[in-house]
Amino acid sequence: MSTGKQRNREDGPTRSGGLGTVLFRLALMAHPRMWRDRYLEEATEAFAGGVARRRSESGRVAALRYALEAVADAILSGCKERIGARRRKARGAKQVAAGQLLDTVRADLRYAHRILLKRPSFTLPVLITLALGIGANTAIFSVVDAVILQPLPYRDAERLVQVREITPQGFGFTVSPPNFASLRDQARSLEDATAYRETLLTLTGGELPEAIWGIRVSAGFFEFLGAPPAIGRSFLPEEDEAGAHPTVILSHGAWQRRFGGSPATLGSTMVLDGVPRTIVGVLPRLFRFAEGDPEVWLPQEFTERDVSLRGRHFLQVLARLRPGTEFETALEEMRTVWSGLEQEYPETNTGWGVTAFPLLQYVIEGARTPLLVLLGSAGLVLLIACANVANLSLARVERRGRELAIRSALGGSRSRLIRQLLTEHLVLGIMGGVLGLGLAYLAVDRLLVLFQGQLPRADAVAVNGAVLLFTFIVSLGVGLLTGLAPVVQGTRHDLFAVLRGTGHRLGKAWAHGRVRGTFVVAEVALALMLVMGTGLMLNSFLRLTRVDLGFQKENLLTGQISLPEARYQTADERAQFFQTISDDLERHGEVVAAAAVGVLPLTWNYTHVFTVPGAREDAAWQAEDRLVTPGYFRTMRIPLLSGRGFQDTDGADAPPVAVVNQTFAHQLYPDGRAVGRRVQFKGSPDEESWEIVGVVGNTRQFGVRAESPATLYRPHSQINPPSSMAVVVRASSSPRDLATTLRETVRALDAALPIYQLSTMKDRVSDSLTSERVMLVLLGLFGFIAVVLGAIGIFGVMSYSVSQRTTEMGVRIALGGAPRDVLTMVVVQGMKLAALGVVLGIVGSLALGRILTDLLFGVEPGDPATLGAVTALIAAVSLTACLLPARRAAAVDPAESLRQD
Amino acid sequence: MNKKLPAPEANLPLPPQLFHVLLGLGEDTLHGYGIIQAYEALTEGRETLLPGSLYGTLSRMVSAGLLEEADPPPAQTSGGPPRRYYRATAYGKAVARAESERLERLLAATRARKIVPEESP
Repeated sequence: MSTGKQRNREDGPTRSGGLGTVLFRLALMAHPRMWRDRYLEEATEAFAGGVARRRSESGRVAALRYALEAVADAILSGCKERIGARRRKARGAKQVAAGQLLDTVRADLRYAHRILLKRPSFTLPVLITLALGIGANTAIFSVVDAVILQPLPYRDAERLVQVREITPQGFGFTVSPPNFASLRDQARSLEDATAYRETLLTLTGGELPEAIWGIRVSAGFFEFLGAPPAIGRSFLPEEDEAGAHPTVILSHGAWQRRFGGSPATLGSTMVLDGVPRTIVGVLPRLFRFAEGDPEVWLPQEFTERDVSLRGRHFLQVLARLRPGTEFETALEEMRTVWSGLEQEYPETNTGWGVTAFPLLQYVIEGARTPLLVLLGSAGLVLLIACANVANLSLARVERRGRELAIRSALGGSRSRLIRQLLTEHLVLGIMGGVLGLGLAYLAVDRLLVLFQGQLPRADAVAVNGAVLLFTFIVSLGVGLLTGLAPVVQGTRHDLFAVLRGTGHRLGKAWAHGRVRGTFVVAEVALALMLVMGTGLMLNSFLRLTRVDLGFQKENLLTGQISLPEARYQTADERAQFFQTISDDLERHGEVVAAAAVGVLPLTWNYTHVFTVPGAREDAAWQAEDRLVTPGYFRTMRIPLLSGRGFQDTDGADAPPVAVVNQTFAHQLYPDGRAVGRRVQFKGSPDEESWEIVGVVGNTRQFGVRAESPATLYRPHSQINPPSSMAVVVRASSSPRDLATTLRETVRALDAALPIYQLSTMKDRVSDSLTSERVMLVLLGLFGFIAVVLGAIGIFGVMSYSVSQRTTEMGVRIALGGAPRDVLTMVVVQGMKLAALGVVLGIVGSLALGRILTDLLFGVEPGDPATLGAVTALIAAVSLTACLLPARRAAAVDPAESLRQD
Repeated sequence: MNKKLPAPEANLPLPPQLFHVLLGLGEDTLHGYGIIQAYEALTEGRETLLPGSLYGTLSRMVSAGLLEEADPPPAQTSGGPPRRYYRATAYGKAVARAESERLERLLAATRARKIVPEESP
């Protein structure tokens, strides 16, 4: 037996060397792992050497030929190795005769291979078509696999659920710490629960202050997920409460970037928000948390106030179901707990409910439908590609009629011929699959760039084993699908007619024509459905870009500033800072106006519940709460509808005032007159009442799609202002030029302050439409491919039909038929097929359109205008594709055509 | 290799790829790519061995006692991935000889039938 010397497969110098080598290595994946461990590098080297030698000695074509042959050989021998290995395992040493059937298959394959290589004019277009189709599917599937199909990388991930409270108005909401504690104590169906909250921190100690993303977690959080720190320790239970020694745990990435991965990092300090924290741990390299990859992890450090107020909701809660517990049962129990809380604490919990989602569903919310729609569209493209290839094959089988007839005359059985033809198509499918895999490999990264980091779990996307298997199965399916029609037609030949040389000129041609016609109808129908999807996305995208946001997004620069609480302790200091920065900015000539706001439109929500004295008894309303400096409405150009805006005199000592938007005014007061009324905030100690002094226009808060929520604005100086606010600056010209001005103004006030998320409002709006844009680009691409393939399909079939009927055309013209009539005849014949396809496509679009409903904006899935435009486009393309062969038919020279037979 | 090997003739007809490997090797000690190159040189580039299937074949031939793994020849420790070197065993050479004789006899038969013309000098 061979001695298995340990080889290191990392140190070969042959990693270079183009797409061919990549494909060959992919093809070698067919071999069992043991084989690859031993021979992968050697075989790759031999392959690269073989290609290089042929290129230098016999040119590119020879090299390409060799490469294709070697790739196919690698796949086949790999399958054989695998089967052999399995047999050896199953039946010990009884291996000698086992490969015989495979050898026959191999002979078929070799023959198929030769035939295909001999006809590059057939093989090449087919391979390109299939590679595009399969590549698109593989690329999208690799994303679908990573995002939707793979379990989350946590312990018992399938039992994890995200728990949310429901506000009295029915919105999902974060959980308050006391409610979380009650959940953990009372819900028997939960094995465990943990809580976290995201936070933005300022890191100082480096050259410039820096804003970094962090998450505060409860003790035991990492163990809960099954990912305890790789180095150091987790947070301790006592660190859940404020007053413990401040600590921090680093992500693996932060440890590498900021500390060079040094083991001495443990025990050193990091100054976050002005507080020196001891680094006590580093997380595992592969740990990813659902909300992205924050750099630092902090303990909860709940204050006395945090844990006592049931009305303050700010925790994200994860729970793990007990093994064997149904999700519905657990949810039901949680609801019971919450009704108990409602009875016990009516003051804070009246009307509040609870809900939960399987964690995976929660994480990928919103990405699921678009991805599945994309996968479906890619599938349609592949079907169209298959129909085209089947058509090409049909034509080829007819040309090969003589060869096949001779083979059957020489005793080739029908089943043997079927096997041969199928083998050829399987080889085509596999080769298309290998090329498609190469394309997908190149496309996946670009696809992810397109998503601009807005795709959940994107870092898990890779061409892995599951993707390879998918591609392999799709390739086999494609082989079978494209082979079916040619097999049926090719083995049904009228032997004698073919041998006489008249076989497919007459008679049979029509039967074949029908099969082809069917393919064309299917192609047109599928293409119409795809283009309809694209049209709808385009339509809704255009509407989204034209939505009135309620403010003027042009010439606005925005940025975020976080004041470290250690240095800006009092409300007054914080309020003063944001007022001063706005004033200072407005002193610059190119600045038209400047202001600060707690939460920018189109970002996240900051919702408060309040009551309205004198309004309905049970009314506990919910509205977006926005703290602003007085110049906010002026800077954003939000119109004042009645009353007044804020003034510099609305300071800390003046009576509390508020401005509301139109939605707020109409929801609360049936007469819409809000000015002069008062509102009160619930569940928080500052329960003073606020007088509404003005009503402003609505602005979109939760993205371009969502209608404007009820919104209430308050002057930032009259409340305890948040330490983090966004600055908005309106420029007289390009806002980008203001970035330096903004930075310098901040630095002049406080050199240790970072300004981050600097971007123009226009970019923010555009970013918020990323997923719509990706859908539009990809569906557009698929639609385009579909239309091109469909046109090629019609063109091919009509050309073929014309070439088959040259004699008939000649006779018609010779008998005095006008060329125009011939032209019309061909066009009508083609357009009949197209029309049938269009009708079926319309039916299909209407039937499947519902899938798109969630993705569309302002357009119905069956939008008649879009449908009309798409139908017109498809009809025009079909007509063009018919006209070219028709003109050739009309130009037939009767004498010439009759001589042919 | 302590199991009893069958008579060389028991392997006939030898599958072509095995024969080609033995041809490529001759009396030399070569690695896989070396065997491919030697075989291509021998057939003046008209035939080749494909790398995807070659290495599995080599490993099976070692198991069957036709080849043995060998230390690399001293001159060839240059760069490239770590390579396994092979040489034909005495048994392997005997099998190759038996196969050549079989082919020789077949060729003679085809000449007798005038399928192939007699070799011109």
